[in-house]
Amino acid sequence: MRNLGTIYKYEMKKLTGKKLLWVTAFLCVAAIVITVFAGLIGTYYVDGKPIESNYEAYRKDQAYRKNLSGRYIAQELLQETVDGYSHVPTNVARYSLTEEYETYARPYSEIFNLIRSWTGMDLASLQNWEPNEAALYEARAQRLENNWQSIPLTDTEKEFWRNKESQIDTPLIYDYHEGYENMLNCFLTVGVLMLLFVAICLSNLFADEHSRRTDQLVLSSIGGKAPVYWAKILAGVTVSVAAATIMTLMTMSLNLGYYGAEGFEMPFQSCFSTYSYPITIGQACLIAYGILIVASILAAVFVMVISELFRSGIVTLAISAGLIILGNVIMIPTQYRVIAQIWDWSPMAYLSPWNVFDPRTLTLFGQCFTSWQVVPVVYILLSVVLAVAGKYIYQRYQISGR
Amino acid sequence: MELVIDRVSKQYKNKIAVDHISIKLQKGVYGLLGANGAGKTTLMRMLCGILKPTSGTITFDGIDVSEEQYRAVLGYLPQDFGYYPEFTAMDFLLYFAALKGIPKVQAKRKANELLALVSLDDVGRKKIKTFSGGMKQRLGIAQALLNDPKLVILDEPTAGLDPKERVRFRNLIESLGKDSIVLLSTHIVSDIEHIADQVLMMKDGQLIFQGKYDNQNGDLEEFYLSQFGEVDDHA
Repeated sequence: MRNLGTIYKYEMKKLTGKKLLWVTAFLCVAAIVITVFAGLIGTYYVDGKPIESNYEAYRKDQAYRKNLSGRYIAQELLQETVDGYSHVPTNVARYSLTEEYETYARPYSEIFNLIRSWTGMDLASLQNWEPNEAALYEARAQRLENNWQSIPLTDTEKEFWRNKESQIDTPLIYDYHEGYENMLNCFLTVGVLMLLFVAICLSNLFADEHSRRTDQLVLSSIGGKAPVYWAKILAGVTVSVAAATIMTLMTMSLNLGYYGAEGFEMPFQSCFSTYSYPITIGQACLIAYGILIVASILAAVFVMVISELFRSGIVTLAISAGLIILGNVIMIPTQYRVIAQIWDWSPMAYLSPWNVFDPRTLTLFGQCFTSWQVVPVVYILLSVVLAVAGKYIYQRYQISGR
Repeated sequence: MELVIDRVSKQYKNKIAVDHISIKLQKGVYGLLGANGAGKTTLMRMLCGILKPTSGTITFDGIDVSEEQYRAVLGYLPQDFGYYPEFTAMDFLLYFAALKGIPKVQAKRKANELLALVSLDDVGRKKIKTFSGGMKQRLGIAQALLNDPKLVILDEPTAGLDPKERVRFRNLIESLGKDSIVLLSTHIVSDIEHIADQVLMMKDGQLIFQGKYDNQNGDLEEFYLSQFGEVDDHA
């Protein structure tokens, strides 16, 4: 393919020369900044009275979490938590507004949240609980089994997760990990922003050639068939991957820069208790945002091929936006295992922490592969298949009418 | 050098746009005349390989229109073509030079030459969106000549050009006809009268006249109208 590099350079120029791209990029940047700091905005009100600003609450809780950092979720810490919460009166409407809660319990609220998520305990149950590390971890194991049963997972999958669970060192350690947890909290929003960016900026890449009537010049040139097609696909993928990477780096730098980069090594289970793969929270962030970048390739190829198929930017945008909305609105019950899994692992629905760290696996020849092991491979293969199909559509196009 | 059009037809559902046209063209300028809807643009698109004939074959020196080598010798200026507003004239030519497989260094030299030829050398670095219709048309002509084509298809090339530019362009086409096959369609009969070695006339998808036109036979415009049975209306 002669001059592919030069053609690619000009295809990039066509794309980056559009104001729409820069306006969309600016809006995405603004949306990411707002998302990262959304939790700090506003004030906590009770009965119309301001209690504290979210920023003040964050600063206070951050200090408490840092105090807990590096401690094992073990007997000693559980005892301290129960002791702290034992001071809290139960005969009040909102115990979190009491002086006792502020003084004794709030420093351990992070641990109580964790116990609650593992066991379902409320305040009264906690106060009556005789702290028992072994019982707590047993409750977590039982919760995992119940979760696997309700999905439902196959026996092979359950065995796979039990094996993974056995590789996790217990007791778990708690580290201050605000930056990474917030990164995961931002993941869904950043994913939707990436998909919207790709849909808006690439929906016209092929369609424009037809609406501007430059297609007749392009297609009558020797390099107008294969080289132009691949140069356009490469340019679209470049912009898409660059956007996903910039969004990732921005989310990462804002979160880790403001909330702190410590806690990378904390076991993922100390935060996301229903997942049993032995990874740290830092690795979980890298996996999730790595998948975001891979998903941007498939999204770009899909939008470009649709753009060539319908030869209309508006139709392409409508289809892409529609799929993004559907992906975030439609929830198929997990009992319909196959359909639900295919839907949840499709790019419009997949970009959320609960899908990336999904206990459902793909079982091949008795081996279980997690979603984050399967999805990137499938997305790349699908991108290649779609791109080849798009080339067929592009080359068969006939210029008639007008 | 020979372009062979052999029983070429194009049918759209219930309309025959081009009806069994057979013709052999050698080096020279061919003027294609016909009313709107006669099938000129459809025929030209088929000659450029961007529209598949329903039946028949088109070959240039034995190379089929669907082959890459065919497009390597082709220069095409469509009737109504677009541009990239974010491109300068130089970008536009370099982009199409790349598409035509011309190496980078050679492309730059050729683009400069052609910009000078169509009197756009002083605005080569300006964005096309600032150009007038005539300037865009001249840029399109330059684009068609980038690869020193052996087969030049020009669909209404003088549209939008002022009288002075038209005369310059006629001379350019005339010189191209010395080494290439040039097929140009136009509504402006006088353009063809001045430069075409042969005249082709189309009506309802069919070729109704093909041959040299001699001034001794009278005014081409009248001859053209007579072929279409419109002399009385014209008078």
